Amino acid sequence: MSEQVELEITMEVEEDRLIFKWNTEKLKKTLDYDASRCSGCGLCQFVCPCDAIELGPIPEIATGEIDAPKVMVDQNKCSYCGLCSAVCLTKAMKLKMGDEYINDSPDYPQFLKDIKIDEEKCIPCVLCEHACPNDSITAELRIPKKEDLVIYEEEPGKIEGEITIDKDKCTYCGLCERLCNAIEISWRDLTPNNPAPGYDIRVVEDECDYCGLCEKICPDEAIKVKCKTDVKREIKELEWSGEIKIDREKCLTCGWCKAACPRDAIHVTKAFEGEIRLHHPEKCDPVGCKACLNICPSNVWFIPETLEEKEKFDKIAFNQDFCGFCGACEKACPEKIIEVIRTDVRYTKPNETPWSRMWEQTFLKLVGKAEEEPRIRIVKIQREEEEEPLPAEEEIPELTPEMREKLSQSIKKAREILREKKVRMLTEKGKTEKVIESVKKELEAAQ
Amino acid sequence: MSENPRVGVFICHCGSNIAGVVNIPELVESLKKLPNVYVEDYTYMCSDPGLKLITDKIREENLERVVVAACTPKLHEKLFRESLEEAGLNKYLLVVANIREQCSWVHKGDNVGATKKAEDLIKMAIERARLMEPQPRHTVPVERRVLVVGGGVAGITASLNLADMGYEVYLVEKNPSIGGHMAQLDKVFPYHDCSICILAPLMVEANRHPNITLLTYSEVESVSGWIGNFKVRIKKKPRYIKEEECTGCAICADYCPIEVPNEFDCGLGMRKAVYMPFPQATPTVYTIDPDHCVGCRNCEAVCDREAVDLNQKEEIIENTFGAIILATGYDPFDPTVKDNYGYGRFDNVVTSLELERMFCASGPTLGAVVRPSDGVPPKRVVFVQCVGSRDESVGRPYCSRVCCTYAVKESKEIKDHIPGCEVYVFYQDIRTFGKGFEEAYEEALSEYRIRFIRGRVSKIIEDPKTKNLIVRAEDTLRGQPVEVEADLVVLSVGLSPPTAQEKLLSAIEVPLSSDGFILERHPKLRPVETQVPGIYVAGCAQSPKDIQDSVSQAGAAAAKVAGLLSQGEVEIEPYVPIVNPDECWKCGVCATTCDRGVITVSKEGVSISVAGCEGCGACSGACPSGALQIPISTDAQITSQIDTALEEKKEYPLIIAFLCNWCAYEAADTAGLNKIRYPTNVRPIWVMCSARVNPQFVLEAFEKGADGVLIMGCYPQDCHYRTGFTKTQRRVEVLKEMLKSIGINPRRLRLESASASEGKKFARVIREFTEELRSLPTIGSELLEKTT
Repeated sequence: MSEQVELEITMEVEEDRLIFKWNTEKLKKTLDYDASRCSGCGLCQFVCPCDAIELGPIPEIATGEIDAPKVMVDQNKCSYCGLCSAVCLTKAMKLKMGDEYINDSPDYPQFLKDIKIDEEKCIPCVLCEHACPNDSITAELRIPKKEDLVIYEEEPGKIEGEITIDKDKCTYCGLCERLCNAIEISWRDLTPNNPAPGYDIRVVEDECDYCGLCEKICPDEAIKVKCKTDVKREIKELEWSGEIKIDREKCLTCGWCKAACPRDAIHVTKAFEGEIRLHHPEKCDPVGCKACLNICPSNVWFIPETLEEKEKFDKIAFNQDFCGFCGACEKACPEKIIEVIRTDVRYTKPNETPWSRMWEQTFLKLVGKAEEEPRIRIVKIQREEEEEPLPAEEEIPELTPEMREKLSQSIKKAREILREKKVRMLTEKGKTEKVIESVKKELEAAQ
Repeated sequence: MSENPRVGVFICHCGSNIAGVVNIPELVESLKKLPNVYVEDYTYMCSDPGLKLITDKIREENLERVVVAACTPKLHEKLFRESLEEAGLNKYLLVVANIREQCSWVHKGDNVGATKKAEDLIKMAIERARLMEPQPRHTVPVERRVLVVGGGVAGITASLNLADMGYEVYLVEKNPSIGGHMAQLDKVFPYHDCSICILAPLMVEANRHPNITLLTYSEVESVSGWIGNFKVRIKKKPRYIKEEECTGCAICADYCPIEVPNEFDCGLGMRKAVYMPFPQATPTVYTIDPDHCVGCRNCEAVCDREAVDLNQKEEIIENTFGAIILATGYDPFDPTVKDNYGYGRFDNVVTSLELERMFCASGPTLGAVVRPSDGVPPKRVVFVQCVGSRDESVGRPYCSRVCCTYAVKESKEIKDHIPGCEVYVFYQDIRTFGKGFEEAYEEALSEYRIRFIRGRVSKIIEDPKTKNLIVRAEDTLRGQPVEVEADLVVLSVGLSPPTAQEKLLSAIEVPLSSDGFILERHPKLRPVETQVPGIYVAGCAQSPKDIQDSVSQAGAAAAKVAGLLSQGEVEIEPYVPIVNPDECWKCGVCATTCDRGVITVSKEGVSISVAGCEGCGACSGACPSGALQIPISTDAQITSQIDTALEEKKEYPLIIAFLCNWCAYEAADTAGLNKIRYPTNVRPIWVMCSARVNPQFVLEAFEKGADGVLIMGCYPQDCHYRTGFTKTQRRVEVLKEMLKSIGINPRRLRLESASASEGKKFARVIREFTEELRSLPTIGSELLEKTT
């Protein structure tokens, strides 16, 4: 029936990556699966049109019982179409068609998820870098060391002074700490119910020489320095620069950076809108299990601490602001307590191609808005009407001359109005409201 | 021409159709009293002696105008016009008064009322006739190219017939291949010919014929224009495969990873996302299904002729055609809605078309008849007749004509495939009417021993373990209930109007009959013409029928088209408006309302392009000065009818009704055809389009004493002139406010829509309007009330 085509399907392993290749003379396709990035959310398996993807035992992997791959691809069933790579939120699945990654091609729709720094509002500072759960943000700050800026000709004596930091104003941006060793900020591990990275700041007064550079660098005007001793020193101009670098390959648009930024300088657009629901929370064992905590790539889950949190969430809690609605937690929970509902999806409109519809439907399937199969219409027929009996011969009321006169008079005015070009033009154009208004006025005036 | 021309009135008895209700002698007496009128009556005016009577009397009595009071002008106006020409009179000096479809046929039982109405109608016609002027012959050239929509057996036959005659044909088919439903059948009745074997050569011929341009995977987007000159826009959908390069080798399908149910196999088999619907598909090329393609590009990679073009765009093809044949076929009835039969829920209940696919040696089961649940051949098969036919509850009251004969055929085929199998057929009637059909039925009874049981199947139940079915019915000839356990049930589904028709009808406006199929011009005499001149219909698109009748009808349509095209020109009515430059205000209202762009207004005056005008009359209806007139439908002609109808009010209430040519007037005629009775209180006036109605007419009617005015046109989305009814809606909105302001109850003016087949609705509207007006006092009394 068909001539043979030279087709080679191979699989290579490179550390955490499985690289599947589908090669013919004309077209070479590569499916690159990076297990270290995979969260086990199962979106790839949900959309695969060939049933080529199988999920591993996610709950057991999440609790740490088993060490197994979260996703397995049958390289022979796979069509190398790229739907899995389009819906993978962590970029664990990547498909290359020839030389181009599908995610870079205008012929395929992508999630519309983005992160943008508002350059006007950003200082920059270190907060977003501290907050990011997967090292996607780097604050490249080129702040000179204070030692290089404050030049002493000779060893100074004791320097007296005053330095106060207003903790209400301080946003723990970390710039002063970078500048000078005398300032120490207390950093903490972030939890979803407490996304602020810094919680305390103090000055090691022994080390402070009241040069005042920290006051200059502080963007919140929280530091006040008064040097009481007259010291012979040169304080150079404080010039520094920096920018926030985002690794878009790694960024999950979870929104931690946004939450940590006190200046509202980060704008995050997520791929999905949705909701997390907990059912039967009494079944949860947060001490022994921790599957959701382990598997979530966006650090959404936490164990409730305060009374308020305990009342709201019971055993296990989440901060929905950070959630990407990937559904990994739903797959991981051994008691099936978690339900992740995706209500809306944002994606780009690609060029018109033969596969546009299927791809769009796939994205819509993720939020339950895919088209249904057409339903049958039942044709309802009208009920037969009862035939009325014909009326008997009636007396015909008279149209008296008086009536005729009245009719004639009233209608005469109406006829004149119909001979107006403006009235006819506006009627034909469909501007009936205007016409009716002016006609009514004319007729009422005439009466 | 004289000021007061002499009018000859010829009243037809139409046997007893008119004479049995309308008192003709009384009519004749009354009409003779009118000045300058000559009256004759005869049994059958349309017969040879009747026509001769007209011609002779014109000469003898020096008649200058003619009124024929008979059946609807739609039927014989042309014939009567010829008898005028015979006598040397211009044929446009004739007016036909419709006293049959719109009088005697609908007012049976009220002879007195009918006679009064007939008198009024004839008098109206007389006054109109007096104002008719002789018109020259208008012709337009005819394009020698035909568009055939639908590539089933009817479309293919019509195309081949016309192509062989030397005409250029475009055959447009929405599916990737021509062949239609006949290609899905295994054998055809009554001699069990192999269906695709007899069809395939025709398909091949249609593809290679030099005069036929085959456009598959294409749809008609829009049609404008008129007979002889249809401007059509066809959209060719992208296959994403270059037709010229594809050899049909199938390698792309081999490497396509996506499998979906094959529509051609009724979902019993699968196809790939890149596919050819069946082996003999014409043209023999593959198509990528954009509803299921995932973009893996395997097909592109493996095709060594570079035939895959994923950037292919849709193509628009525009051309002008002299005539159009609609051969859009049918859809098989979907029995899912008949819940008691369990189709869709029970695995082993299949439709007759699905069974055909099983019979086919190249079908999904390779010719084996098996139960879908386990793939085992059945031992007892039950056929259920009239599924989706003769059934009011699913909106299909009609008989689908072919099911009895195909059930006879299929039941014999099952016995041929599975010799020991028992076959039962549950029927209401066995209608095997055609040549060889009765003999086939006899053979099924006597030789094949198929058991025919007369009784409707009430319910089918499934045994969840075996998946067998228990069929419950009543054996009406024995008078006892019967239950049969079958392992396969075949539902003989009827033929429904195709769902694709809806889309086509938004491009081509042809009225439908009440069963949803395309309405023919006349059920007996004009079965292949639609209501629109130049558009013809053939095959199941017009009504359910078998292959031989479809082929015959296709031949008839081809002949009609050839008749039209062979003359090179076609005559049109003098409906193009003419301007009286002395009265014209050059206001431009006419140009604004004409959306064909046919009218231009400059300071020199108004000019009208004859080629573009379709004669709706909207311009004349909008003209404030009355300078723009249509020769066969002038303001004076219409107002004279209004005045005459109201001169002597013979009944109360009295409604003046303006009926549009394409829909409302037809609906009134349909009411007549179906003999639906309604009150006599209406006096209809024919207009080409409801937009012809100048608001001044409405005021004239009220001024002269009409109790109610009815304007009836097409449904706004179906208007023959597209926007005509919408224009009328605007004018009525303004009119109603005006009436309110001058003190006349606006309920006296009524705007309604109907389609050509809605006779019942027309009757209901007249009935309701009459009742409503009866509750109001006579016109004018509300004005008196205002002052007192």
